[in-house]
Amino acid sequence: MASITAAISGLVSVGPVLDLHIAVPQQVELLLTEQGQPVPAPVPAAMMIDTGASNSVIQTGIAQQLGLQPVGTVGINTPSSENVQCLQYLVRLLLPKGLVAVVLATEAPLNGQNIQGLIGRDLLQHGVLVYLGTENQFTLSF
Amino acid sequence: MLMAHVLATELETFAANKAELLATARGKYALVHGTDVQGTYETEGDAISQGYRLYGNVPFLVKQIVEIDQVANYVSNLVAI
Repeated sequence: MASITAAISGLVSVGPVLDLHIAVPQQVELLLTEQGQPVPAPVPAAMMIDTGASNSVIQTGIAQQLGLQPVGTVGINTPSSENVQCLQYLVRLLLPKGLVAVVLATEAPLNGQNIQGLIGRDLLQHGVLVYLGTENQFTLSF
Repeated sequence: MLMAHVLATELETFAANKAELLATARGKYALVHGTDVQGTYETEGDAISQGYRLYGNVPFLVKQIVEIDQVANYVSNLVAI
């Protein structure tokens, strides 16, 4: 099992944020390569680990930056809305230490936030999250 | 978000075929492109991979065949919807 440990000054206010890159899925990379087209560069993103999110989220606009098309829809509930239909995109999350995760991410606005995505329980179900509040650290292992 | 109209035709196609799909492939995942229900698959990943193989990097719909759709829940207000 590989582990990523991040030390964040002011973890309470900042939250457990991971710096990573969002990339096209392998299937799209293969298609583009076969067609002789350039593969879009992965997009750098700060994604917050959110145990209150059932599904991972990417900020509106990132899928377009990657030239991706939707492959699904999902209704979402938030504290202020119910069953809002959103698009889903298959993406690869390029995590530190060479870890790669494939998720069906929901596209939604994260306005006013200093993050570009949420890592939800759809990904966390495959790993172990340790939140060391007293040390301003967290560790995510897969 | 709020751009489900990109897949409006596929959602209509799924709805029109839902009763039959429930009868024959409940719990599986349907692959829909335009007005065509291409097939059903055991896993979401299989259906998505087949969608890319058949159609390329274009919009298509993979949807689980269930009576009531599962929703995604967000307990914080990070998602601005």
